[in-house]
Amino acid sequence: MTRWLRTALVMLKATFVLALVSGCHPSPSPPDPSLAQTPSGPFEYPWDDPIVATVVGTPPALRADLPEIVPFSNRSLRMQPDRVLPEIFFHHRGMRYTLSAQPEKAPLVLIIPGTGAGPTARLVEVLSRIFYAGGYHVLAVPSPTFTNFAVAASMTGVPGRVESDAMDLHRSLAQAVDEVGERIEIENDDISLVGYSLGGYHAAFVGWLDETAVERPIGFRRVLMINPPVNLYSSSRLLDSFIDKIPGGIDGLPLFFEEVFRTLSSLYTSSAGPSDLTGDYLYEAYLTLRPSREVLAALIGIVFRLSATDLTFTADVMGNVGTIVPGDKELLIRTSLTPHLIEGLRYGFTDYLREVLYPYYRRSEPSLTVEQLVAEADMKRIGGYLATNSKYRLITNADEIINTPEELAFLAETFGSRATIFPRGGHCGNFQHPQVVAAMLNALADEGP
Amino acid sequence: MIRGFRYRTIIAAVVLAGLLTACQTPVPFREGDPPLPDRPRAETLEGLVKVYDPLEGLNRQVYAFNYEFDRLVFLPIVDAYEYVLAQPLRDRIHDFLGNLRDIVSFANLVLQLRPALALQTAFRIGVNTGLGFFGIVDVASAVGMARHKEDFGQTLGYWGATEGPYLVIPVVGPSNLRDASGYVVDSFFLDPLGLLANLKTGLAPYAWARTSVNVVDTRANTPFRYYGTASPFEYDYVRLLYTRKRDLDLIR
Repeated sequence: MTRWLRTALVMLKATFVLALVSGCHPSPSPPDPSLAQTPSGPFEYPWDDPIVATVVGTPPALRADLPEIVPFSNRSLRMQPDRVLPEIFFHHRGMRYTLSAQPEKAPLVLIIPGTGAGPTARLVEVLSRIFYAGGYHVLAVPSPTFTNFAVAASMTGVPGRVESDAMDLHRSLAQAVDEVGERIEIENDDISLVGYSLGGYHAAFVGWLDETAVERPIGFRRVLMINPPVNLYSSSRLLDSFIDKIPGGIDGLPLFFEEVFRTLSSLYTSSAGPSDLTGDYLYEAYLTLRPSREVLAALIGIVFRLSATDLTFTADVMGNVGTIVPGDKELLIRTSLTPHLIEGLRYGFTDYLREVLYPYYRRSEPSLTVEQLVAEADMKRIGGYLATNSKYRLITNADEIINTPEELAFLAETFGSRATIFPRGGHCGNFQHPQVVAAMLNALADEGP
Repeated sequence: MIRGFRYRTIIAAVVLAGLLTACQTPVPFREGDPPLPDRPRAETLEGLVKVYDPLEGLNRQVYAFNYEFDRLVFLPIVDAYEYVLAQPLRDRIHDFLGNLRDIVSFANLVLQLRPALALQTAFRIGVNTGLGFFGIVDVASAVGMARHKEDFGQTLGYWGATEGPYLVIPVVGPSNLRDASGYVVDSFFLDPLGLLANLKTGLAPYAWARTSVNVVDTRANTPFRYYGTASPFEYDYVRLLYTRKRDLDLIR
């Protein structure tokens, strides 16, 4: 007994000292220069199933060592000071963006996030850490499909048509760069553009407009597209189909939610479980529960459905389309939006295209057809430009779930030696892998083909 | 004398109301029972999303108020707190307050007649107070003794009280009638400093000072930001998740 007590006391003392010592050094580790190397050797990444990769991501033990704390500021830009907003959007007067500023002169990276994501989304944070560690200032704006962007920065408030979205993005990026120009020093006006998922697709068009169609170009040295879709309509259909992995489709959501919740609750309430629903809880949950492929696919479907629901409601209100919210309805802070949520959950991206985007544009273009909108949404339209422009770089995965094999072939062919295609990773599931991190930094730093 | 008779009457009434609702269905449930006993499974989207929220209009306005309060008052104070005090110092304050809070958990575990967890919590308080310099270092967590947090809302729920209407409380945030009553009981009756301050007016300034620091420390350690998701349906999601999260807390 006394021996046990003594051991316990020594342990306590040691922990106490450790706690004090670790408490004194909260500073992030310095950027690791070895990050910017060309990937070589076999790709050691555990998930063979792209669905697992997409949900679970890179396991913590395999992640690149990136600084946790990035000097980071949340900022806001008034783009449309005169726009009259419904009261419910009172907190969207400015477009949100984030800045991670290097203390000294450095090149600047601009980030466009994926579907429904804002500048503080998890993957944006990961990319910010990667490029910050690589020595860049990092500025991130929202995706045009993020409610805040649609309300505060978009000219129409109805996102989904790529030229209009790319114009909105270009204007927002240019204004944000102007605004931060007073706070950071940009080395040799060196600015690159990085987009992932839908943001990668947007980056292709923003880079194109910058060279061909705007009065005041930003002048991107590099444009890096990560896991982009090729055709918005075909990717939308693929993503919408994931909701059918829930038995009964969207109507099966309540039962599915109850099941998942019950399973998570057994983990949460067991004494061995983690004490809070934060951090790597979901990764641990995955290891413990090993959910089926169908459940993981359904989770992907739900995440995208929730952002389609936001998009449908926001664009419907901003464009005064009247599909789920009657045009004359006053939306006050005290107004319950619950009925609109319940209806909005029935709208996937393709429903949005047909029932909000199309009616909105047909008002000013009576001869417009849905087929035209679908054809417009294809990156192949600017394929010739992308194939010959040396500023573009592409990183994606051979098992990407939002591209058809034919679209993947288009990407590989168009970008040739400027493309890095990893064998595994699903949709954005390998961002933190050291070889992928190195490829991202290399894409901005290489000498060019 | 600062609170006067009226003040105590109100608190007593709240406690009584809480206990009365508790008495209607006096069947406690224990560990090992099937989880989430009270709530029927949602079968429709409407059933899933809807939570009993008769004051929804007012709640949504308080939600918006809390956003502005955060922006203009609360978060600037937190920023100043973080600017003035270095992280290691803030950690010591955080641990000290956490140790005091453990006393409230202990009291609630006793009221729930759960001796094993109550003893565990008492031991934890002993370790932190004795070896952690009166609680300024959370030695217990460092050696893997998990904290079991309980509040009077959970105690009411443990004895069968239902949650009542959903409430968004100014400054505090998402809650419901049961948890809000519990919060009052925790703060003024189960918290030793709060209780002493209630009995002896001389201690009131200390109690208020502790409460102020506690409020700032809690906000500094809560990453939640009103409208942070930018989703037009954030209020609905928060309401649903708060309610379900409390279900889980009840059966821990």
